[in-house]
Amino acid sequence: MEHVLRAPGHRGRVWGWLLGVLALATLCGCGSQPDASGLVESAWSVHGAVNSAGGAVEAELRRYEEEGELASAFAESWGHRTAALKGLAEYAAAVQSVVEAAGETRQRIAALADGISGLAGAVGIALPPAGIVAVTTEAAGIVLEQVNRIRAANSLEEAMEPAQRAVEFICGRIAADLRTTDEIVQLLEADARSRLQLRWGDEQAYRAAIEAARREVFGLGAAALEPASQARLRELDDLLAATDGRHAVYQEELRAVEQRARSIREVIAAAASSVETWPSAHAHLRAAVASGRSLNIVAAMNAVVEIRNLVERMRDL
Amino acid sequence: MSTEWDGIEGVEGWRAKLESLLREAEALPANADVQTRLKMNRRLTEFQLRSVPNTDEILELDAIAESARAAVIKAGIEDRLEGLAAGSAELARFTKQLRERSAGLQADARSLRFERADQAVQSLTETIKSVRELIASLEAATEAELVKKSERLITTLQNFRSEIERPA
Repeated sequence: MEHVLRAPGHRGRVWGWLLGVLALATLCGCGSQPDASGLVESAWSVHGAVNSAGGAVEAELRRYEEEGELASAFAESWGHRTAALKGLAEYAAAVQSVVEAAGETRQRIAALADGISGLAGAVGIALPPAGIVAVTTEAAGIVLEQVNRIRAANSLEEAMEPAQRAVEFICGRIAADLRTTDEIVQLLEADARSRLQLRWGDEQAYRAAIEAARREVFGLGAAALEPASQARLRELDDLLAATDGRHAVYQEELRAVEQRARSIREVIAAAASSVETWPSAHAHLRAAVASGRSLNIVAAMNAVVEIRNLVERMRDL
Repeated sequence: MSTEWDGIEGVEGWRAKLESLLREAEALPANADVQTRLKMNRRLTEFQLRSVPNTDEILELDAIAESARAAVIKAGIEDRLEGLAAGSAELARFTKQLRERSAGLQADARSLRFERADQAVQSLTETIKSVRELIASLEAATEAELVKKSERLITTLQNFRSEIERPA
């Protein structure tokens, strides 16, 4: 047997065997760790959207009721929603930090090995040739990395399984609350529109009467071409033109009411749609953690850009 | 196309129409859906816009219609604000649970990042030493010695793994 061990190529076989031992010493190899960064970004994005939409609804309520009692009541309740979403975002960040911590292991081991080599050199300890140190370091890095991946997966599974219920409750509640808030916005818009219509009612009725008179002239058929009808039309056109400026102001005010409401409702809808995807994204992440698969949370990420744009548009109003 | 406003004439006609609208508005349940409230708001607004001529009596009817309209909207908003307030406590409870999970995960991440550094240094040093001994003995060692040293290397590796794997 000795001669076999000392035969040419013997070192290579031993190294192969040694690496096999290292592979056996590691626990079962895991795939890449799931990526939770999409969840973190989507949670902060929804948090921002819900915060902005809440601020806009509060401002509309103050516009509706000068005393501000309804606005204050809303702000207090809404504070719990933004706090819950902040909690959700921080939770997602905590999940991601565990994932990242496990992933940094190999680099840390390499840095440690450099440190050890430096220290050994400084105190005059002869280390094995550099190639051996490198292979050992790499092997040790693989071992520790796999161990840390499994520890991370265990830690994540332990935290994520009970967290699923909290995530489902919070997201379900907030999605429902966003729908309720959307209804508040619809009621506020209807009220603002009614007040505007009533404030401008007489002028609009006057303008409508002029338009009705013009239609009457046009309805005369051939008689509408007679000089008397033409003179009447000119008179009506002048009257109508005299109201154009005021009518434009009314239209502008009406448009502003509609635009404010539409922008707030778009942000609310985007936030609701994003928050509704969260429990299933979280459940998929849990499954990915358990199986060691990687996960790209596309649905959660898609909403982020859209939400950002909508919030920007709402702020511009 | 006929509308609900066709054929209404004089103060009495408008008064009767307003009474009918007010009965409907009063019958709305507190949790009436938003579309029902929006429709009632539209009809009471339209009443005010259509009721003519603007005599004192008609303006009085308009004022009553406006109060009813405003009440329909306000009751809808208040009902929804109450719903939001009612859900806050439970939401806060679940948020607290989630925060506790986050704190646990952050601690695990810290543990994975830093707390093993010392053990890792020690275990790595041992591993390098064992490999060095094994390599040194490759030229001269007997098979039995080689097996012994290999076993020691495996034990070192296993210790290394156990040390790292041990819960913080």
